[in-house]
Amino acid sequence: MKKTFDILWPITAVVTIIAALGAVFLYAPVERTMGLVQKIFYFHLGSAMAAFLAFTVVLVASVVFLANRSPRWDNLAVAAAETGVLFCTLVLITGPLWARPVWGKWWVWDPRLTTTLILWFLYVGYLVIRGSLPGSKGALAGAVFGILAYVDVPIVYFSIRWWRGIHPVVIRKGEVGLDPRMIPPLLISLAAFVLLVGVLIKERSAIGDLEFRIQRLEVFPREDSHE
Amino acid sequence: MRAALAIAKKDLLLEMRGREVVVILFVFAFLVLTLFSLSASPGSGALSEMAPGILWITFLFAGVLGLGRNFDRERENECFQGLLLAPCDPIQVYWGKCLSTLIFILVFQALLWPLFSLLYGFSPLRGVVTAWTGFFLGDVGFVALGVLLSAIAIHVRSREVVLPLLLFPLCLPVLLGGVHFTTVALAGGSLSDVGGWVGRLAAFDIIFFALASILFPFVVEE
Repeated sequence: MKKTFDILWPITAVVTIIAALGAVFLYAPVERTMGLVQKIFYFHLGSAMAAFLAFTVVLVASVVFLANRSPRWDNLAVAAAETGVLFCTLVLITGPLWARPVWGKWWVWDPRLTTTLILWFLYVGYLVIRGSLPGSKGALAGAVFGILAYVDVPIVYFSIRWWRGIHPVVIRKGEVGLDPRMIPPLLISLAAFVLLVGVLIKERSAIGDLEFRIQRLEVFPREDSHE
Repeated sequence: MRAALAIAKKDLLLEMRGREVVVILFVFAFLVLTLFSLSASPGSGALSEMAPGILWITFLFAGVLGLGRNFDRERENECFQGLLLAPCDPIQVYWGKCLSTLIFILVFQALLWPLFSLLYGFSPLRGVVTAWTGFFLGDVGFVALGVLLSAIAIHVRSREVVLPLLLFPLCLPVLLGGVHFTTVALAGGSLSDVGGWVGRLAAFDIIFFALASILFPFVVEE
């Protein structure tokens, strides 16, 4: 059962990614004013969702790790943080690529953009701790920082909004003028990103588990045999 | 609580004898303020407009140095391990370190404030209550996060770089709140002109302090 799942998941991800590419480039209409560049939106939103999911996994895995101290959960947290930083970087690259032709600027200090940048800094910080503090100290420090960072993100977002006072919100509820034919490609593309981030986190955390077992075999050659 | 007070008292006593933190922070911050004023083009109004931001960036830089100094003492001869071995809850160590760092930073700010108002052309008594409420509330949030992260960074070899890297993005809300307080204060406003930020900054402090108090025991666990 688990094995079929392990094979089916990546295959579903690949199929969905191909379907998303087809839907975005062949089915979805070209936006009237923005033109082809609007197609970045499908991948931008997908990456943002993937990053958000990955950081949520960091939080959950960190909390569980502090409760049960199982290295599996710690490996999951590291895997999710690395994958999250990857997708957060994609968000920060695709955003300006879209913004330059549409807003005329690569970057504006809007609450959403600024919060995403701070989010990226926070989880790069997480990876820096993990890189510079090996072993159980690093695992505990990482778990603590993983929780702290997640709680901080909404506070950062609201503080920037309050600080800027009256500020135009780029996308308001109900005002997004999406053509109905743009919605299925968007949904397929979101599904593709969710499946992809899941596969990446799972594989990365499996590598982490293997590394941990190898290290243990080097230190205690016989202990691993009964597992 | 008594153990926390004893730890804070020990730090203050060391500081009275050696004067290693506050004086160095003051001279460093003086230098930073000087460099900022020289970096603005002369005669433009940009400097006084940027003054609250400059002041808070200076506080952040000096604050991270102060945290480093306050924890370097504990690193020498494994003093931190000794503190944690004391027969009290480890949270007392956190509170004690928070208290001493907070006092260092407040004393340092008290020294810097007249100098800042002199260099940037404000009256030191202008909006003094507003400014100092902002300093205090901002410092509490900064210290709550800073002491927790210093306890993490104490084992890292490149901690001078890692600590600000972790601390600055986390305490961005505190920085924004502090800058707002100082902006209102320098415009001669009272606390009621600060508006929602009084409650917000206090709420950030409570959240950060409570969360850090829960998480600190995990950081110092062996």
